[in-house]
Amino acid sequence: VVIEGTIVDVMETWPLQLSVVTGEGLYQIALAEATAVTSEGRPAEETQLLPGRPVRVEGEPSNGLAMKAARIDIGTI
Amino acid sequence: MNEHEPVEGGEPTQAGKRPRKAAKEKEAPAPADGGGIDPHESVSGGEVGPPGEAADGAETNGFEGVAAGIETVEGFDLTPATQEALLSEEVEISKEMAALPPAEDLTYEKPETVCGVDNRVRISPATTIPWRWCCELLITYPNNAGARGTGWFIGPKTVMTAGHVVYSAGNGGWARRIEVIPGMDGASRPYGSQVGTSFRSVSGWTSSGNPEYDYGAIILPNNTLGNTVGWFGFANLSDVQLQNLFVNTAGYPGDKPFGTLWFNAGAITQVTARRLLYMVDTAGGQSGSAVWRYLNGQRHAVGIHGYGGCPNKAVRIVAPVYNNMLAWKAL
Repeated sequence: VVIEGTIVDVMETWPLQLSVVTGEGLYQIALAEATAVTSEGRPAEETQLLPGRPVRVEGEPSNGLAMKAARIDIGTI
Repeated sequence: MNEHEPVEGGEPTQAGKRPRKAAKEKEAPAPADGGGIDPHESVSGGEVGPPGEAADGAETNGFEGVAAGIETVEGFDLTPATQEALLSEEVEISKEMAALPPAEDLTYEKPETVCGVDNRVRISPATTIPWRWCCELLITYPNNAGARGTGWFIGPKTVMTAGHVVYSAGNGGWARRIEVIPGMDGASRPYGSQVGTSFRSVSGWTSSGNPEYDYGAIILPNNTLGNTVGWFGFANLSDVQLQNLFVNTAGYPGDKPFGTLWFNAGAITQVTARRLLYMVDTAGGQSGSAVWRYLNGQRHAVGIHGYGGCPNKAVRIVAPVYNNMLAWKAL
């Protein structure tokens, strides 16, 4: 599953969880230790995941509008 | 349905037995919820245990206070926090703590997101009050994903935390198990640990994913740990009492050495109907941490930390939250 949207909230578990608003609604995104975070294709830190930033998320769907992220790219929208 | 209505998670064993209302003996101000749906409706997950004896009430509801207090922690420099419009608890700094290199000199796998200067201070050992009330949480979700968070005792077997710690939609819902380790300090587990499989949150979080209702609790199998370490009080304070209040927080951030407890404090910069905003430094792993006021020797949690982004945010302990906490404490 691939979604594109904007980060609304950053939940501070470790790894992080995100709320991302998309055209379909509000997605709950769970990162994993192995989740690759990039910024426009370049390696980035999780700390760059901030409210207001556009993201493209690839991952495994969970129930409803929720997913476990395998890859997150910041600023591709 | 009331979104503040408690809900249970995990492996429900007594269908339909959901604690809907908390104890009435300490009536809080009327909930500000609008409409016919209460997102604070309590829900539960995991095993629903039998009701236990009610604990002593350290909590106060809307108690009066003049000045906020910061824990006295050696090595904690309030100045940067003040400049960032923030902080509070005072923490005494031991020789060991003083010997620690500055946080900014350390190299971490992933840097934390801090607001301005990172002035977090490590608490070691974590066996004194209030640090031993704080717990490292090792979470296993239904999809077998592991995660870490922070919790804090509010009763003999009740550990408060964020809703997204006990219920993570992205990871499949209610946690499968959470190991609770109070006072953890690196490799030291001074009180051992217990595994919780019974959880509580509210429908405003589990059904709606509304961050204003992002709080929950872990119900441990017995009173052993809580009666050993003790617990925080909690309070429902007014807007005026909370605005610019100096508050304290301590948690187990993932950007620091595993299992180490870190403290910070600062002022609340904004108070909304259901959230508290502050520039107190936190990081991933600190979700669920207590945000507390230290006043006249008493510590009362006023929020449940959960969100980063500068300003960082906590769910505010308003009347429905307070009432659910009372009910969960009495389980």
